[in-house]
Amino acid sequence: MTGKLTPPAARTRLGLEMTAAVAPNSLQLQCCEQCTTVQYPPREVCRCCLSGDLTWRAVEPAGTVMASSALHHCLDPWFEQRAPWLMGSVKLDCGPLVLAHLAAEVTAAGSPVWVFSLKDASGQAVLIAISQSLALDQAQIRAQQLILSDLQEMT
Amino acid sequence: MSRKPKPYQGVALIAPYTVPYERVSERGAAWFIGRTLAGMLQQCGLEKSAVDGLAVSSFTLPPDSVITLTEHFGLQPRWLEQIPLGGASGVVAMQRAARAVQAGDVEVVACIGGDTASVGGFTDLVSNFSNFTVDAAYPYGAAGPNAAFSLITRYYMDNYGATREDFGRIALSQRYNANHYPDALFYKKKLDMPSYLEAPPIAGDVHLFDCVMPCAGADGFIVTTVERARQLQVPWVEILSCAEQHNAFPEDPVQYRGGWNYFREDLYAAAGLGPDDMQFLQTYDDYPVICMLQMEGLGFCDQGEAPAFVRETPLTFDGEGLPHNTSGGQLSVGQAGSAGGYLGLVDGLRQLTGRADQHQVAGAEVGLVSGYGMVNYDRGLCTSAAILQRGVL
Ligand SMILES: [Zn+2]
Repeated sequence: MTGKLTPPAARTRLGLEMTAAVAPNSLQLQCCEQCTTVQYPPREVCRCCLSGDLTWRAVEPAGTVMASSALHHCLDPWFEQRAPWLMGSVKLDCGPLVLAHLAAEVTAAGSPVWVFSLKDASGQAVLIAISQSLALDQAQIRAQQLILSDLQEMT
Repeated sequence: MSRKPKPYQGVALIAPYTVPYERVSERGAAWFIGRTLAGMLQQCGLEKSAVDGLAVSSFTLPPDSVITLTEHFGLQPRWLEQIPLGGASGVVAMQRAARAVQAGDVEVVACIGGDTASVGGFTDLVSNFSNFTVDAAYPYGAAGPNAAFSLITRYYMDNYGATREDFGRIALSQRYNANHYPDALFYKKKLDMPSYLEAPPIAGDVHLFDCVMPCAGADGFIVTTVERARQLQVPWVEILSCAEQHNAFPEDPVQYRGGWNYFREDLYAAAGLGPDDMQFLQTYDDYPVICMLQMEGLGFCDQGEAPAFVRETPLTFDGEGLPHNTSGGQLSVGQAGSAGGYLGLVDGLRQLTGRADQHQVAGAEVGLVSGYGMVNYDRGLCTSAAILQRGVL
């Protein structure tokens, strides 16, 4: 093994666009300029109207946890070293269903969360869900702290 | 659906065949597919030259494909199909081949799902399964289907009160069936409820015996005319109805139903039968919660009632309830890649042609085979189902 192990860095061209769109304290997702659909995962065209006119924009970061899981075995070595790893699915108020890293306090279904897009230690964008019991600005700070601590505090 | 599909009159399904599964193999996918073709032909007495159509499903075949296989196998077909629909592939291949035979485009179509399994091959497959996987699942540790299905399992448990023991009933009955099917990887291994419940957790509520064992192998069958089956003097199976539906209910935040709910009524109406008439049910069983979605979606019980249904209904091949995944399913036979989308159909054909030996459902004349597959992000996208009946001489 050479070099430091990082979270998975592989992305498609559209995944790299998500990384390029990362901006402080926000959730940046792909938006359709023709019909205003917000979509995730990123696509080449709009899932609703098939327009190719798509822009990454800051969207409303509020959502609700649908289900969570503690991954005890992961094929990726970075996660395997940190198992069990908490992740889950979040239904965003602005439409899409996203898979995200979950802070430990929001594993229950129905938990209201803020979701942010941030760069992890691989340099690529990931989504992180933080409890809405924190005010938005506090949640932004917590999300940044988690990323800087290599997400170690999440599990 | 405004248009009504024509019946599948005159079409015969023959020669169900399975190449015994292996945990890992250095052989290529073409070995498993080719040996299945050989076994199918030998079983029904057809020459290789009679094969004028070939449908293949395989994850590990690339860079080869169904066309390169024609040269590999020395075939001269005039109809080819490659179906990348995972666990829905078997029924879909059957349906498309049946229409081609019925229209007179071809007379003998070999349909085969098969894969090899190299050491490390599974990791390579799942880490680059699709663009959505790469961008939106793998970065969260969700490589492979375990994570997605653990979320579906959790949601189902929260909403319908299913317990791990309910899922265990499915796993245990399938293991019992596999203990009567010598080609199953777990033929000689028994499973009881304490062992099921105490098995190590893999992802959330998904534990070891909820997961299939990736392996190498292949399953196949031949689609031809009833006339040809009669000439060959082999038992055959007829299609009473079948359907496929993909990307159903895209707005459901978590998958708790599937394409079966779209086509169920038409499927039974075309067959002139209902769920109570089915003498077995083969579901795609990667993972037990998905079996429950199929039991509900195909009308064996109401939405959310599958936990109660499996508590009340014996699911073994000889339990006189609803024989379910009669060879043991992927959970106990193994998941040989794309063969997993054929396994239930091929065992259904064995049941309906009286060739299931130790795990034969007594007097099986009609049964239902369901398919499900392809997790691109957070749910399986493909569904299919067929009602099949023993052919009458
Ligand atoms: Zn649009």
